[in-house]
Amino acid sequence: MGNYSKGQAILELAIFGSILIMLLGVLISYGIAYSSRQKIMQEAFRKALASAAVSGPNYSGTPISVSHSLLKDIHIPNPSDPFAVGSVTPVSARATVTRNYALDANAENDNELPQMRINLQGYEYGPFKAAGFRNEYNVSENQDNSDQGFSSTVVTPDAFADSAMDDAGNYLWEGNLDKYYEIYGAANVLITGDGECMTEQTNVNPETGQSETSCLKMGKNIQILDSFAGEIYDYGGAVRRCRQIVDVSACTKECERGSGDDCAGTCAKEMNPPNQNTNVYDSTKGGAWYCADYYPHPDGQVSRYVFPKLEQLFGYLTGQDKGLGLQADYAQISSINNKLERTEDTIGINATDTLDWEVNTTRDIVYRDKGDTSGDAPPLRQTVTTNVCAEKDGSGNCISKTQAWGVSW
Amino acid sequence: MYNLRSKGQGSLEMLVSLIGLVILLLGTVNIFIWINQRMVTRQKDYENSRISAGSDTTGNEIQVDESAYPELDVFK
Repeated sequence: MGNYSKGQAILELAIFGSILIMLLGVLISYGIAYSSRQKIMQEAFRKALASAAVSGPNYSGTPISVSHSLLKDIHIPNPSDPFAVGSVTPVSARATVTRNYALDANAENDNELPQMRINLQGYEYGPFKAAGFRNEYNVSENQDNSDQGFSSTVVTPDAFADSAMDDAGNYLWEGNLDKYYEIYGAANVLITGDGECMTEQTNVNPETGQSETSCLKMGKNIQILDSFAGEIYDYGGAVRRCRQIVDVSACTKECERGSGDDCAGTCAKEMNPPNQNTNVYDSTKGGAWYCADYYPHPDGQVSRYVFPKLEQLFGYLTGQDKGLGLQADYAQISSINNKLERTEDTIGINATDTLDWEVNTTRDIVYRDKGDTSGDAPPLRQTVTTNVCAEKDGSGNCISKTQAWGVSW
Repeated sequence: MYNLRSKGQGSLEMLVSLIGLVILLLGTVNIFIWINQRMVTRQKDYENSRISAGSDTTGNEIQVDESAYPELDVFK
């Protein structure tokens, strides 16, 4: 009976002590993680704020939008460990700041494109462009696309004007530009100049009786601010964009969701290839190259396609939400070398405990080669290893942590 | 006699363990207060520096300076 009561107190202490130490550990890890999250959110915003101020040429009010992704590996110490070795946990935050005196203005050159900077453990990578410019040539404006009988036909200018409208006052010939406006947004499509004449019209001048040739359907060259021509974007968004371009019903659904006008008519138009009728990219016209060579998805579902250029770019990335930029997957290698030296002699006992503890985390930053306009270039990858250890010297190198004690007889 | 000594030992062990438990609890509470205060102070400093950070057009990164924040002292 006596032995039982002796053991009971020890057992109680062991149980409640371990529960308390566990509680302490939970509190410390939660507190450190929560505090780090607050700190990193503040840091990310201030970094984006500072970058946005200097990104534009002399901060002239040009539209500059900067995203900062900040990630730090935080050491969460374990209170039950003599050296407080614990786990390493990533804490991240992202902030976007647009500093601009004219918020409705769009980017007009490379300097003004939205950018993303990635900061890992204090080291900055980027800036990566989050959009790019893409040129397309000979896109027709709101004119003829249905051979209304003007080509090589003798008509007077008045007759031309009358025939351009139907009885309800609608244009009989609408160009393809409307579809660009619908898909990319009107603000992101800029007409840069005239292209080639696509349909000529021959009229007889009633005064002179001579034939005069004029251009009925003029092609326009356009510059598109395309979020999928940048260095970093998501797979899902790119597939959705391609589906709009190559599938009339998908385009119509998206258009109707955005309460657009005459969605079926607009979406039936042909953009420069690849489009709903051809999957071949034509560099002389400059279509959406990232949608080229598409084919129906093998599962046979309606409006599902495989886009080989996108598959090549995103092919080796994993997860459902595949995206370029800093990858969520990482490899963490933890190494611990603990050496205990004890000397015992006639004078006393001396012990030295040395710990080398290091956690290396390797991450990938994947981005598109911005110079690639064919979709054939493989994605670029930057591998970054961050390091957390027990103690670092002034140069940032890991050093051993030592505890020593001794007892003299 | 044996029983009495045994009872005393139990009380003694309990006393020692209770002291340990109280120290642990106090330490835990102190850590909690320290983290809490640090976060409040950091947020306050952050809010106070908003105007200067937003007004800067030279790209100076204005971050909260935590170097003067009090260190953790669990026995306080």
